[in-house]
Amino acid sequence: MCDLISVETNTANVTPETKLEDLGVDSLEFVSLMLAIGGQFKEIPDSRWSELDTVGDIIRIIAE
Amino acid sequence: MIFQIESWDSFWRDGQELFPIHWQELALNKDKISLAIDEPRFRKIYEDGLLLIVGARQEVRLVGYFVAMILPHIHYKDAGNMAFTDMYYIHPEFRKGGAGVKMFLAVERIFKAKGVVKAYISSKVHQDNSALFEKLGWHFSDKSYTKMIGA
Repeated sequence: MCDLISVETNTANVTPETKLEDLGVDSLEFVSLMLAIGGQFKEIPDSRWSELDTVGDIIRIIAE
Repeated sequence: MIFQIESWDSFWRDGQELFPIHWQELALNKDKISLAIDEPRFRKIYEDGLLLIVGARQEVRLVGYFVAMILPHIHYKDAGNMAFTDMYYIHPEFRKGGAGVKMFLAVERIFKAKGVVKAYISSKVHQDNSALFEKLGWHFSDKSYTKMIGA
């Protein structure tokens, strides 16, 4: 997951602790990232996007 | 960041920092049309139950907002409530981590709770949010124009 996010956002050293606001993505890029994650892992419904503050939050929700 | 329905008083009080920044970034014809929000008229619309204000707050600080009028369309009064977006904005320092899309999704959930069946929104040509809107399921349906008369 961290590797995917690193590639999609062109951000180095992405870890579960990385905050999404530090990925440098705007809202459109955020949606594209969610679509990429959904394509490779599992879709996160947009009703839960407000819970996503860190990469770890993404990993946790995907694992549910 | 949290998104919540705001009262007129809290929005008016806490939005004072944002209104001029918003105007400076997005308004057209700034050399001829100055920002001068008609607070009593806005307040009346709010008190009549027609104004929805959703605030984006980082801890207690208001860092963004989405304002819309909610009422039946004058042409389609039996179709249910519709939402007519007045304005939306997030302070540039807080446009990270998908803040904008999270705000739009929060607003849409509130629309649904208020019985809104159709919503209208627009985007400035010079700061075009069309791609984001379309990813969120909005449909490009109109083109609108402005003209300074007598200029």
